[in-house]
Amino acid sequence: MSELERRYRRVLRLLPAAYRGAWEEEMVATLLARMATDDPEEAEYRDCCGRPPRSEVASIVGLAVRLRLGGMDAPPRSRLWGQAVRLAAVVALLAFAVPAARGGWQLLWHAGWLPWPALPADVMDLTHPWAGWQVAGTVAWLPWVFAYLALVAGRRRWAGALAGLGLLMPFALDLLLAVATPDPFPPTSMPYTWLMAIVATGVVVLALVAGFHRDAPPLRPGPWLLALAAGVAADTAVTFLALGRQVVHHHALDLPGMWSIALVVVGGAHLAASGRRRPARAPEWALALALLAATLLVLRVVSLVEYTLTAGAAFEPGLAVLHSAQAVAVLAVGLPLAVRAARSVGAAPRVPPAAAAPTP
Amino acid sequence: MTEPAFFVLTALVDEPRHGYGILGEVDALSGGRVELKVGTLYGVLDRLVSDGLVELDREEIHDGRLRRYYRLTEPGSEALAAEAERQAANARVAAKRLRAWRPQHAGGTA
Repeated sequence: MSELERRYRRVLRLLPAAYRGAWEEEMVATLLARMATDDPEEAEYRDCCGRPPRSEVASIVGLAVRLRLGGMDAPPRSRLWGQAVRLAAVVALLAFAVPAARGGWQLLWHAGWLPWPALPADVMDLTHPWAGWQVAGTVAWLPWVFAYLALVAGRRRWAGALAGLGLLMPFALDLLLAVATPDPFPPTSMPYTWLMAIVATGVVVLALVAGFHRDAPPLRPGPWLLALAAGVAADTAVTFLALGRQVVHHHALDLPGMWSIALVVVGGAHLAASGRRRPARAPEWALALALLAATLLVLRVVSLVEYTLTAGAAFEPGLAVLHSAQAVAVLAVGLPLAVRAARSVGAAPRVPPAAAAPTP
Repeated sequence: MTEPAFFVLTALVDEPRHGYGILGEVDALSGGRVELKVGTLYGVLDRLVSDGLVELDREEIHDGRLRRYYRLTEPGSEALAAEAERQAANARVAAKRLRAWRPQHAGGTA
């Protein structure tokens, strides 16, 4: 076997085993035929030192993603993973879109463009020296709202591009803030938490792009638009009633804190509704929520550890206890969800693709 | 029907072809505009075989390597004809619009 063939087979290992069993030999023959040449010297060089072209590798990666995160007519296990990753991506996108939309309309209210009563001064003070950064920060989050709306409207490529922008803009602003000011805001004063947030957000964008491939079924817009409206209403209520009036310190209910509460409520409701039924009802929800819980837990634990180690004299034991409680609550809901999800994945048959081993 | 699927079906109209043969034929049919990658081809073939639009014709061993030849089925031929008619109807509508639009604007720019 030539080195080139070995390299091709290594790339093909990305495909599910059943699919590979049916198609690998044929694919290798086609890939090698594409690289064939009449020049014996060139052929010898390609055999030992040739590498699969990047475009071919990308097409095989794309095929592997479509097969592993299958659409509605995929084998059960691949369909379950596909549905769960798509659900996790859209819920995560919603989790970004809600505070972004709330911040957006809060800014409009502040600018006096909404004919409502005066904004409580303790929510956003535009005379504060940081106000300019605060406004820029709010605007930098807006791409998440458009990414969510694009996804719900079936514009998947737009959703991926806008989510990428939503990933880059806030962090670019944080970097700018760190460079421009001697005493930056908390996000940049906790670099590990900040990096972890970038990774977690990147995972969301990746899940979005990978899950919503061309074979994936479209979303039903109605329920997801309703979810955005309900989320913005709930977030507004919390911001104005609790945080705005200093009932709760804004570090206590930061974004991971809000997300933890939302996840515990939704995850708990799912566990209560599905009970001990076998086979589990809506197993894709259990898997999606377990994936989200794992991501959120890592984010919360990293921020907690970093805060504990770096806060120094400003350390507030109450805050650390509250964040620990949030982590424990996410774990308490995430573990049974993960167990349920693992059972469902194990029970879902890994049937070979319908077209495997076509017979004459 | 996606563009790769349309060209794969078209490549199989006159005779059964193996994977590499389909790639070359699609390239020729589209005048080099559609250059299918192997991952895309086998994703499309997988779907067309499972939908019954294409089926295996025969297997051969060539230079020690497996070659599977695929042929168009009757439903595949009907699906391709329907898609070709749909695309032709779209093209006719666009061409008619353009013909009606050009004379009006030709005078304005002179």
